[in-house]
Amino acid sequence: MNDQEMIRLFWERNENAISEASAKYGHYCSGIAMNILNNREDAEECVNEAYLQAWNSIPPQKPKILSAFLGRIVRNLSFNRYKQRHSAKRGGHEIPLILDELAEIIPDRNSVEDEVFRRELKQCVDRFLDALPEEKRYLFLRRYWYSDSVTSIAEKLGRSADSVSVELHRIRKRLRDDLAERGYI
Amino acid sequence: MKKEDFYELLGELDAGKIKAAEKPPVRPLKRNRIGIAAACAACLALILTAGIALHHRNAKPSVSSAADMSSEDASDVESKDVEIYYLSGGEIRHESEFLPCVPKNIFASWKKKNGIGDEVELLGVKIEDNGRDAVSPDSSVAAHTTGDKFVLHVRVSENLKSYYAKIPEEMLLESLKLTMTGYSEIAFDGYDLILE
Repeated sequence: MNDQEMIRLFWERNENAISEASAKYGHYCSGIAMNILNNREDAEECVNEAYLQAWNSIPPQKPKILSAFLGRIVRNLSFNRYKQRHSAKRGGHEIPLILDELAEIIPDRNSVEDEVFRRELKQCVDRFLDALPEEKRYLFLRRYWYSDSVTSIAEKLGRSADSVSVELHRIRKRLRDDLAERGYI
Repeated sequence: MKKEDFYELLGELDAGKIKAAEKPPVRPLKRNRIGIAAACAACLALILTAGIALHHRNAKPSVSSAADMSSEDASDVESKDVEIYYLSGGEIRHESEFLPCVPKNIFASWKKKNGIGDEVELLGVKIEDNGRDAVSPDSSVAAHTTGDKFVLHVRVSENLKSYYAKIPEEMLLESLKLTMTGYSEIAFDGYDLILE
């Protein structure tokens, strides 16, 4: 079933929408949740909760890209779960590394940023990614959106883990320089 | 900003990019480059042997890595789903269209989606790389080594500027860039738009 048909099922409040979404995107969503949580039980709960959230938000929303829409919900839920677990020192083998890498781009400090700042910063990162060659953009998104391990990215690209690490380091530095130049850090 | 907040902020990135990152990009294969280089070398050798190129009054310097794609015939080119970027509701959106991979068709589709009139023309598209040409001392054999950096040069008629009054310039040009650099399987290292 294609995404438009699936979205129509959501809009018609047809419960098959969830089973169809699960059949097509279950693996995709579980992958994101597992990358973040490294715990199958937690990941499954987050994915199921994501379907419920999708059910509650479509309608009124009508996502253009269903996979990214579901993926984003799973990512948010899983990261919230990670933060709960992290305070109890559990789970998320990859996330602490990813967060430390992100701190190389934006200094990790307590500060109050308003919604306008966040929106502008997001747009700035979006534009930075637009300007990157496709493979570099892929590397960045797999690492910092999908939370893939470096090894897993290297396998997908047929490259060594070391070269992926070096490339990611360069991209982080470029992004940090870009944000500094624009006055965000 | 806390690193956790930055991680969450990245979660809001453009859905189109997230979708595109579901699959690894198709990398320009080395053997394709070698194939292109070999074809270029063969063509150049033929031209040099025939003594045509050296005597052609308007011959450009040998830049065999550059391809003027604007003259390609759409009927000769494979069609595929091409992402056309356009402005809608103050943001850049994109939609797939099944088109021959010819710049003029893709540009025409981009114009249509952005409400740009026919008076605006695509004057040329050229891919340049950092490869080099080598000709043997007796000029009988030429070889081109394809580089590893690719820059896309797009030439558009200057009257595109007349649309800046009603369409935000930066976003319009960004949508053009995304459209023109996106359909090819080459990961461009640079992009250059010339309005003339």
